[in-house]
Amino acid sequence: MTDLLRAEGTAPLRKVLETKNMELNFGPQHPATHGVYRAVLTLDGERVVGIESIIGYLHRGIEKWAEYRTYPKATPVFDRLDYVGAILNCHGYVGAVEKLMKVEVPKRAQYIRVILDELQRIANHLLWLGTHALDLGAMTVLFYALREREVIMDLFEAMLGQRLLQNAYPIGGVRLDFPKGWDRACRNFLAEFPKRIDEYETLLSANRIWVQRTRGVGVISGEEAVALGLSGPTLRGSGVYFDVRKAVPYSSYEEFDFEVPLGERGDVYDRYIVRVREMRQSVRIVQQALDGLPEGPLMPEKLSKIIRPPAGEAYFCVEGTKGMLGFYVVSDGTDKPWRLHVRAPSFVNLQGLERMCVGGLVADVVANIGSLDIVLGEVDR
Amino acid sequence: MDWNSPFMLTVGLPLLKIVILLGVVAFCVAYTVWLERRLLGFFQSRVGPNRVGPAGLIQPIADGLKLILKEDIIPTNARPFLFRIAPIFAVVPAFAGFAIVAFAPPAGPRASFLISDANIGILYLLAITSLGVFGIVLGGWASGSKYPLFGSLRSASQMLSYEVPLTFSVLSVILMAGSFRLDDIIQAQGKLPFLVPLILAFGVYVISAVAETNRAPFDLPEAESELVGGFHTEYSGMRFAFYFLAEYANVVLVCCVATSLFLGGYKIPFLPYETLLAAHPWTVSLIGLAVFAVKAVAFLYFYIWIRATFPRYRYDQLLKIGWKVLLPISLLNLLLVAGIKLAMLR
Amino acid sequence: MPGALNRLVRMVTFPELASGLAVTFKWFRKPKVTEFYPDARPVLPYRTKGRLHVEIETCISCRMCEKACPEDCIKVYPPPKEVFKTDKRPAQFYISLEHCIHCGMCVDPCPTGSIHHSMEFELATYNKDELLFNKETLPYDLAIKHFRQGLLENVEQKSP
Ligand code: SF4
Ligand code: SF4
Repeated sequence: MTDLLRAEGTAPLRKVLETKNMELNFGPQHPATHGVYRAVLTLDGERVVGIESIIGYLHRGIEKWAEYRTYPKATPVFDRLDYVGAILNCHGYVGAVEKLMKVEVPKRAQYIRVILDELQRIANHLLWLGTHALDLGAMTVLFYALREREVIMDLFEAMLGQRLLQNAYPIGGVRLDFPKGWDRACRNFLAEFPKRIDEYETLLSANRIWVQRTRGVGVISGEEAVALGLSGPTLRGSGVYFDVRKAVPYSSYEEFDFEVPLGERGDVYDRYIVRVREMRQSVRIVQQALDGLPEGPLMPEKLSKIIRPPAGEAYFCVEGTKGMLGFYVVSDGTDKPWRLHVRAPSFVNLQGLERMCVGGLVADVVANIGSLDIVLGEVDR
Repeated sequence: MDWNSPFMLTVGLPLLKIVILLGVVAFCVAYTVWLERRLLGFFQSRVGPNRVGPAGLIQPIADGLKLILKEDIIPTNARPFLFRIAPIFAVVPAFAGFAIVAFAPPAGPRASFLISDANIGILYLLAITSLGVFGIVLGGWASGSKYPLFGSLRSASQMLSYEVPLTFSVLSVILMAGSFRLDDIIQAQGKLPFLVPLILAFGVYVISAVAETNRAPFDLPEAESELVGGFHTEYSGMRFAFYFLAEYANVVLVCCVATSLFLGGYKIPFLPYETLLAAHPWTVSLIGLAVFAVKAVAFLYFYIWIRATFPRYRYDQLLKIGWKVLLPISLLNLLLVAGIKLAMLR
Repeated sequence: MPGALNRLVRMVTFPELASGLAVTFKWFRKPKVTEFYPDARPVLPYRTKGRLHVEIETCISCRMCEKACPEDCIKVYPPPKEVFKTDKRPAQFYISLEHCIHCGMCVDPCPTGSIHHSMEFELATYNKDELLFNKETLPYDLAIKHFRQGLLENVEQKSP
């Protein structure tokens, strides 16, 4: 028998038939990596045994770029970090500079910021929902989600003049008040939107194929998630109660009544359901903010034309669409930041990918990347 | 020309029919693509292709032209000969399957609406459609690239595992009708389409047919979000068009076969076709053709509706469903049908 | 036991898949949301940050816009000193739309409101050079000025 297994003049057959892991290049031009993310997968059949992230294809040197601009001039570029959640990036940067200068943002401006922030969060989650569903083969949800996102985009355009990269806030407050009719249009949207979320949930949450695809896939426990520094819905999907809006309230978030949805098992389904519920909470926040919108100025009165913060440093973080979005600014007393760093949640959340993917199948890699909601503009900066 | 000469009867007439059928099927396939894109658009709250011609009706022709004119790229790592011929392997079985489909009642002894009235029609159909997988496997392997390889491997295992329940569900139809001839099966549904008594088999057939034709939610071999394009990732131009054609020809074939096997073919229940046929053969034939087309399009609509609604299964889940759910159900169904048949014979 | 039975019934009757099909069918029947863009012109809001328009006649060459622009795409050449005393209009005014990100930073500081956005949004050209505008080629339309006035006074938008 052993002789039979021995091919003539070669090593024993067992040796000859030794299986080898296969390396698969996943991206950067792959339809499911949401941008120019690249992963090198090591596969045993269809099972993933290793994943190596390779980033930097979209590196534009934004932080360095900003150090060569005066403080106000640097604002629009941060929209280009996470280009589907631009307003929140803008809020983070502007907030950091305001903290550095110890400027008190007027109440009305704070409320307007909350409204726009939460609309942006909904818009981001909608785009995420659509693409995530598309990755798992449910193509129709993408179009429904984009249809609703379009309404928000129109609201942004009416308010800020741009749809995607709005350059929303100047340092100190907001530029212009709502245009006439905006309030009504926004309320119409808010009244209609929860019903649309129900529809997405009918198409996905209840669907057995969806549940089978996402339940128990890419599990990451709460401890692991904290250890890896994950934040945002990715962290809350693992059941950790942490939301910057609750933990370190900024821009009057302490005045709104909203819940922080949590997952239980930390799988793809939980991360999905957390984001969907978050959209409902955002609707609640916007409604409350619209109802309780105080009168008052939009910009602080004593803000000098030339912004020159005192020497020092400040760290300000907002609950971005992807997680804890922090801006660290060091000023040397001139009109340009001496050093600027962005704590980009997508970048940190990407750390969790290896834990989620190893041991799963190739199809689960797609589900995991989708459930992380990364935007490469933010990862590479 | 003498239509009654033996040469015309055995060679000329079938050849003529084949040419006509090829043309009609190619046309239908092109417009299936158009219909799918339009309907998907409607399901997704948009309008779909509407630029080329009225309601986008010239779109398939424009697409075809574009694909023909495109550069045909053969990757460096590919095995050129196999890479070139693989699409043909996919396309030929898809079209050959139409040979035994009876589209309408015959209008005369020599004017039947089917090419070959083979008495083992169904067996031929099952055999020829499972040949299609060769084109996919060969194409994926010959591309010399990893994504197509994955796609073709998936495709092979998927088609193999769904072939079994599909065959069993068709077997129960054969048992009911007592014949392998497609026309006999349609005749047996004169009063009641088999959809009603064989609802289980129909369900199994639909699911496995969707899987067989690699369509959503079982479109794993070409899952564009995982495997980019699956087995045809490296193909372009004409050869890609061939795969495309094969896929949609298979879809149309499945619609036609499902119509014949389960929906009663060209029959309308309780309409005495035979007596009417003797009186006005051509009118009745054409009405039968229309009935067949309506049923097939309704089935196609369902196909597209499913694609618009459901997410995609994962590879292992798909195989699990095939072997652990569909196979037992179809076996059970076969036993049931056999039992009923036996009881009726007693 | 009833729970298990219920589960079994749900498993074989696909109620949730059917409701999913119902959702897609609902939108199948509803009117579509596609905008037929080149055929039907979109109604843009007043605040749209479209192509920049500059009213050279009222500009006082203060170069505030130039300093505010993060992309450095504006260049203002004030007139010679002697002329400036009487006529403050710039000697030359360049805007490079090649670089402009339509952020609106230049509009805010302008003391005279000479520079502002328009609702023109189709800015594609066949030639890069066409994107560099100077004093002569900068389009200006009084209608747009009035339009901007409407924006500042915050009037509700009507569709045209
Ligand atoms: S809109 Fe922005 S980028 Fe364009 S010219 Fe004005 S400041 Fe510069
Ligand atoms: S800020 Fe206004 S007035 Fe000053 S140079 Fe620019 S356009 Fe002219």
